[in-house]
Amino acid sequence: MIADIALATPPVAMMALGLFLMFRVLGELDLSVDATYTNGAAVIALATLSGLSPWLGLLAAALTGALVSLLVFAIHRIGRTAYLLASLIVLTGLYSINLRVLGGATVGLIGQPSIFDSVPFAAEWVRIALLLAILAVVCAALFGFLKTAFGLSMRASGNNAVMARANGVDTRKTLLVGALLAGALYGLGGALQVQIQGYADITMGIGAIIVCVAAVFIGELFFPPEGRIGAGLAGVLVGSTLYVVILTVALRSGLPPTDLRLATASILLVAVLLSSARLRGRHLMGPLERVRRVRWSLRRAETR
Amino acid sequence: MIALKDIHVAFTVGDGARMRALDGIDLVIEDGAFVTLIGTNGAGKSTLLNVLAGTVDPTRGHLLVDGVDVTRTRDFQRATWLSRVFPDPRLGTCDQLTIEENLALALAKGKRRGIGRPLTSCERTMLKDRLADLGLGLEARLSTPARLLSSGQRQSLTVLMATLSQPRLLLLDEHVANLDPRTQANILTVTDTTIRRQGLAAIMVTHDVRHALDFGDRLIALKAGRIVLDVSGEAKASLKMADIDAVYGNERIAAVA
Repeated sequence: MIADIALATPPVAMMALGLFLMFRVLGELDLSVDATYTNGAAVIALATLSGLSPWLGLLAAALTGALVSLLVFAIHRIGRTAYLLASLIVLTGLYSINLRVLGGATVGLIGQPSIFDSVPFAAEWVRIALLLAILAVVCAALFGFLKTAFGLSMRASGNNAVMARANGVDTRKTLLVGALLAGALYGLGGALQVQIQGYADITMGIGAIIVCVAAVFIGELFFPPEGRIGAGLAGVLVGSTLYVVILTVALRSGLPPTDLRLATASILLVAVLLSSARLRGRHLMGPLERVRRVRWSLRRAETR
Repeated sequence: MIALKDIHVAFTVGDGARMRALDGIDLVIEDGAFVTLIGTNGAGKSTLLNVLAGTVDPTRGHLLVDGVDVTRTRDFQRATWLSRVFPDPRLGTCDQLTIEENLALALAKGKRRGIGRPLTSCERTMLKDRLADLGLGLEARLSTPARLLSSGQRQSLTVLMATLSQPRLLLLDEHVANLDPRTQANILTVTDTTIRRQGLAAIMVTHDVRHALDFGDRLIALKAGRIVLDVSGEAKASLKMADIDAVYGNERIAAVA
């Protein structure tokens, strides 16, 4: 079961990182992940079927993901619409395009090359290690990027746009760059999932946005949103893992797969309730909250 | 030198009527001039500042910096020559970013923000010195998020951020209005010292006529979108509260201590 969880987590974490970037760093809720995730899956399926290396397929999935975000951004800017609305329009239209790219509801890739062919032996732990390595590289790159001068201006845009602009930050540019990165991450998530399961399916991405939001909220129960980038990214990783753990355990203990989305909704509901309880100062997370407070006061004492 | 030439701003209000927020403002601000700006609510003080900052487009007229027309430049582009301190201490800083990160953002004004480190160690030392000048002990708390600072500390930090890049014009928009009297005095002193030491041109909007009389070397009063009083030098120094009252008649300008 642990192996299943370790295999299922990286694609979820990948897209959740993208949503974290949009929703938490830049402050825009981006619904397009549902379709972009499937799009990434469709692109890598098409790429491997047409003889391209699966690694190039991953790259192509990331690039088309970024392209989808570019479209959302263009609608948002040119049409002067809310980002949320622009992403909803793209999400809806892209579903049909994904169907065309796939050429059917499901495309099997059994017998086709995969990124796992690159490692010398096919044991499951090697596959897991490869996935975790990819995730680690992406996380480190994202962390490094958000710590740069440009990354800082991006965090400022989401935190206080008035202040950012007064300090010469072009908030349109920071949103565009963030959206491109997020789109690439959604696409990568879908593509990785295809590599793991060996087929692409038009329904894969349905509800991806809820999964991402749930992962972000669960993560924030452990790493409160205080603006520290390391803690924020760690929260997304923990949240994604816990989300997968909860769902896997539920399915193993007899939850019918048809109730999957009810389970997802319940997880999100509980996470949201816990997080708003914490904001109101009630400590449903009791012991955890105390540990956090002690750590916090220690940190304050240090800085004095 | 910053020049406003025949600036008009009109808004369409709810019932379709036009409201003239600014009605032909001609104003030249020389380098190094510290101007205080007063006016009743609705006189056009904020609109004037917004026109300068680029967040409101004038319906007519031009804004010139050293003779170059910048009327159509965007607010973030103006950051190369302009700094702004807001009435709300929370607006001037990012609460989720640390003191150091906030300062780094302000220091990079008008420069390219690439994928290098936001601060060099040399810049960090310089920032610590500037923070120490505030006398609030913030230099030892560089990694503290701005959220944990008091309103007064945050506004002091904003004043420092606004003056780091030696702007051509500093806009102070009722920047002490939301603070207690003692903190007001502290921040006004810091502001005044900084403006004098760096020889900045500044416009300070205030509701407190006392502050307008005590600070700056030129006083401008607005009424219904027009300049009704503009005195500088000796005349400004000898200006009395009664002179201000005379301008506004029975329309008392503000609560005066």
